Amino acid sequence: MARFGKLFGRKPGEPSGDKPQATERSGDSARRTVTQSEFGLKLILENGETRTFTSLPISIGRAEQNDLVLVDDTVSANHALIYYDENVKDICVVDLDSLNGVTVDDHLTRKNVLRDGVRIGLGKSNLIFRDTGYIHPG
Amino acid sequence: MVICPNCRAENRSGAKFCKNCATRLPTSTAVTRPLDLETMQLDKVNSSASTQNSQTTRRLAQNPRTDTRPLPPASAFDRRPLGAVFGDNFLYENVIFSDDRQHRYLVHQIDVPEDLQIRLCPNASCGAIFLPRNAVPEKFCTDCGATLEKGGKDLALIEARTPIPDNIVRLAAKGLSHGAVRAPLAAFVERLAGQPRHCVVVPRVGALEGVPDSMQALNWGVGLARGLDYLHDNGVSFAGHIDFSALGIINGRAVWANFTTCNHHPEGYVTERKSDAEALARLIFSWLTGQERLEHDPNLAPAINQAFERVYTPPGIASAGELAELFSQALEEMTSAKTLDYYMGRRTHVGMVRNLNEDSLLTVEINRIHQSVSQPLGIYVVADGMGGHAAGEIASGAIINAISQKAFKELMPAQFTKNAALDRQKWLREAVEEANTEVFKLRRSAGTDMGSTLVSALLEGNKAYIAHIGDSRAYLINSQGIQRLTTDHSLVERLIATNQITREEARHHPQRNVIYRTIGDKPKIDVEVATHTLKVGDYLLLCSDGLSGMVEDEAIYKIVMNTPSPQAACDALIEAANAAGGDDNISVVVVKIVEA
Repeated sequence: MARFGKLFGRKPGEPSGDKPQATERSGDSARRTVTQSEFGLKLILENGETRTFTSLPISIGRAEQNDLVLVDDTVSANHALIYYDENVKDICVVDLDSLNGVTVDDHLTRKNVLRDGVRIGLGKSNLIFRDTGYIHPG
Repeated sequence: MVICPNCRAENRSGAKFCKNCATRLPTSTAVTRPLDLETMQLDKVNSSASTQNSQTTRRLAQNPRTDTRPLPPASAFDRRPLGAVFGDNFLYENVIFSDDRQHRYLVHQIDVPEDLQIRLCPNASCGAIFLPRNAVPEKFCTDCGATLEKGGKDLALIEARTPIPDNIVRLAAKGLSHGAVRAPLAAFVERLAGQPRHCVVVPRVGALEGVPDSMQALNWGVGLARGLDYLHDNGVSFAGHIDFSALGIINGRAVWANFTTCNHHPEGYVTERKSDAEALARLIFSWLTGQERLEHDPNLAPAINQAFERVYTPPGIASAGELAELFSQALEEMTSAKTLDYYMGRRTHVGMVRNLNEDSLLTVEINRIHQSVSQPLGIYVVADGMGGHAAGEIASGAIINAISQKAFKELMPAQFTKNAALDRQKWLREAVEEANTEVFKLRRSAGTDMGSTLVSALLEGNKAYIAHIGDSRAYLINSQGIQRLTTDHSLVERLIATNQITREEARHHPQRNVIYRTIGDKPKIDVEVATHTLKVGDYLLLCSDGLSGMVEDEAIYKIVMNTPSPQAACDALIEAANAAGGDDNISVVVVKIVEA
């Protein structure tokens, strides 16, 4: 158990440093979100808009420095992160201690494997996750 | 903790094999376990939790827009979705049970780096689980010595609204590894939408259903008692409240699996072990008899009654380890002795040359068969008297008289009072010594040079105690061959032992009849008692040199194995010795070990 603490306490993405700094983010976020590629990870917003991502991790929140900004006051500033988990060996979503939590297919969860077509809920907002052939660089 | 004598690795107290090199460890008796180790671990858990909290607050503090509108708190205690990862470590497989207070999931450990893996002993009769505790994973099972494998499969995760009891948290932090213990593996809290979810991960075990049969109950009792001793070594006690709800079933045997009612002693080990050990004994007793109160039960096998007698007769048992010993002894006695009986043949003959038979035979058998449990006892003596008329036959007769009297006085009563304190080996040695004293006195008063050889066997259950003086022999004969159990106290055997002559030369050596140790020769005599374990199908053969001097071992083997009964074997052996010349008196006792 003592050793588990190492895992329990770790926030994926953050210690490894591969998450870009917030200051750089705001400038080039357009590059990552407007690409209408056939392949990649797609997040379908409630208004029908589709955002396609070709790199991980994807941070989601109300704050502007996030990769996906949701304008909804039930969404926390830094709400969740979609990333590739080296241990699970799959794409996961993790709740970043948000106030209203993260649901997958309407069930509350903290960290969850994402399968194609699941619905991710953040606060009152919902996203449909589509995996159309994302290839993990690692 | 126990330090490995081979590699100096620190093993937890109660470990039997080193986790690093599988060397058998010295048995540890409640070594004072440093208290700080455990509190340190707890502190680590707490501190990691607090750093996590501070990180959260820092992140929120950095962001000016923290005015997130809270949703109305989710009233339903919802189960997790497919693919949930618990505590960054355990992956959802299935829901076992779910209601508004508790969810139970089937989970397995995700593919974490080796130093965080849960390890498993692959031995089906052990299956101890090892939690990661060092940078280097443990290699060997500390309970049975087997090489550990990757584990973490078939785990149950219980998610509850209410906090996990302190004792469970402490046990999970400690990480207990024993073949008969399936302790909690991890305990942690996760916050989902601000609501705490309290999670415990435990190995999956089956529920105890019905009552085990008596052999199973005893077998389980041995394992459970050993497991309880291990728990005591590691500070876990049940304060005398043990019932079936503390147990689970894994691979068809009972293990300690439910620790909700246990106490965890902060000293790290339990000093008062008697009440738990007695409570476990009562539980096993209730499986065997349906009774709660420990008392003599005529329906139980004597071996089992004897074990429980030790529990309820003051001073009783001090620890569960003692209970395990008692149960395993009872089991051994029941499996080994209960099916045995003796089937005996005997005959003595004067031979073809002499006109006086100086040999004497004694066979005493008594058997108590109760509830198909046979408790046979047999005493068999062959004495070959020497010294001619009015000497040899008197000496050999005095021997069998002395031994039979001692048997009726001491051995027979002990058979019914089940006097465990009577040391059979010592008894046989004393019997031969007393016989020697008797013959020595006779020889003094008669003024002759009377004497005798002797071979005697005391059989009880599957144990044979054999003493001999001179050149009378005992053989063990079975399908694997013929084995001499005695070495003649003769000159030629000495010469063979020192490689001066061969066994073949010894048969024709001019001094082959010279023996250097006889009964009645000296007031004190050295007696060696050898112990052998017998099994069904074995023959024990006692004979005087009238047989062994005339008939080859190989021929004896063929005759015994090819005759229909021990008596027929005796008759055929005497016939063979007479056919070879019959130079001396011939006496044979053949005992066949049969199923009762």
